[in-house]
Amino acid sequence: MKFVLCLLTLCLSYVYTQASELKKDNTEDWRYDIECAGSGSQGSYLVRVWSYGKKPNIPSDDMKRNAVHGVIFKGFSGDRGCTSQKPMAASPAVMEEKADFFKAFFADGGTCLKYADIVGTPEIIKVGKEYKVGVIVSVSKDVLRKDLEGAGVVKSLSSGF
Amino acid sequence: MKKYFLAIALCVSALAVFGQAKKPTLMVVPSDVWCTDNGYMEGYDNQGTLTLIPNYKIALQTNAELELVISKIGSLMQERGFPLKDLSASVKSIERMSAENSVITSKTSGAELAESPLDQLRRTAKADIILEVNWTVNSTGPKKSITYNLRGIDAYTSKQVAGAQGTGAPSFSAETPVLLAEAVQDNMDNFTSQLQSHFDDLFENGREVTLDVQVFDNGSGVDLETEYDGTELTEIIDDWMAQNTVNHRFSKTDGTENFILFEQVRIPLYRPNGMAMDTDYFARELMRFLRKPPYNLTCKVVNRGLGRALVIIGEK
Repeated sequence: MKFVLCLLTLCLSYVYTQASELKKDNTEDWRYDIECAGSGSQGSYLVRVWSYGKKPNIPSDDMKRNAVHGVIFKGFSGDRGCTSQKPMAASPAVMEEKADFFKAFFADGGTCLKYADIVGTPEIIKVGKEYKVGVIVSVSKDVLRKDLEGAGVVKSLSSGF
Repeated sequence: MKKYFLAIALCVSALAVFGQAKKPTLMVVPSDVWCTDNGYMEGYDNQGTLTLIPNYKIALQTNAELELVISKIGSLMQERGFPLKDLSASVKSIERMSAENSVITSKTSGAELAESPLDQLRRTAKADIILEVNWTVNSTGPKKSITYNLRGIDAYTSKQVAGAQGTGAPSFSAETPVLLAEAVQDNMDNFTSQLQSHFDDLFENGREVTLDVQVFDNGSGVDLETEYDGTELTEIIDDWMAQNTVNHRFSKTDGTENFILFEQVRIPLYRPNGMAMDTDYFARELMRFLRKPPYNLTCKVVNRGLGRALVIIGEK
């Protein structure tokens, strides 16, 4: 009996580890697509973020995190009158150069969440064995840029003068 | 004790000032195309040729959309820590200064302020980087959209250093000023991103400037082909340029015995003592070099802004 319980505990812990690894894969590997979703109010971007998951109920924090990550490192394209934007960071290498900052920034409940707000309801598409969940997020890019400039991650336009 | 604190504070503030490069001034002006489309061009007879020039004063006084665009760009740039020089305020300030200067006289002799024709000609609104803006309102039935174009042009090298353009989403209901404000806002980040790349290049490779060298026709017989120890003056100036530019980068675009045009001259941002360097100082260094033996040449330096200067050989 003791042996069976022990085996069950081991199996459960393995499943839990795998599940959290999967979650990590989706968020920390930054598997998402980002595109322009319209003209935001002054100081913000309106973007549509498509996040991927085994289940359709992807946490809203993950989608917000993807949106902020996209604005900083990917930039986004736009069509039909929507303006494409370049990433805020000068290069993707900044993520590694400032690893300590970004670890805390993108952590669960990290500061990145305060720059993003979900607008509207998610759109769910089943793609093969996984789900693609799209949501429109408003990212406060001016405040985000100021904070990143303060942290030395992004260069200010007037720096050096 | 108080003295020490004061001395330390002074040293720290001096270091902070010395460590900063000269900040270029930026000004938004409507493009010539926009001025032509909207009837703000004025023609004058330039020795038999009709030349058109934009009348910014009338455009600023009568076109509300232009005022909106300029102030929107200005406020967005200010948010990014880079306030712009205002065209309207510059035009007014020049007029006021001209009026004031014309009535200033000295107490003792009643002398007026010295002013050459060149001084008068130079009293115009200017900036180091000109932001040229142009837009058109497109109408398809009831739908309206804005095609917007913003270009940043270096006033001294005439190079486009930043640009953003695009056509906004068509709208049935939005008024033109709303669409315009949206167009400015949507394109500003891409514009400032390119401007940032230009500034990064400037910090890495030095400021790109233009230097003119000319000769006074005073009958002294000295020109740029005059030889010193078998070397022509033009070659001597070339060597000096190579030694004093960042990574020896400059282009001798044109030259005769009477003038040399140096373009894409990369000058250091700082002097050896740490203070900020501009083209005027760089040209004065050349002037000091030519004043020394064996050349013993008298030169005049004419400052044409942060990025251009003229050295005239022969006289002051």
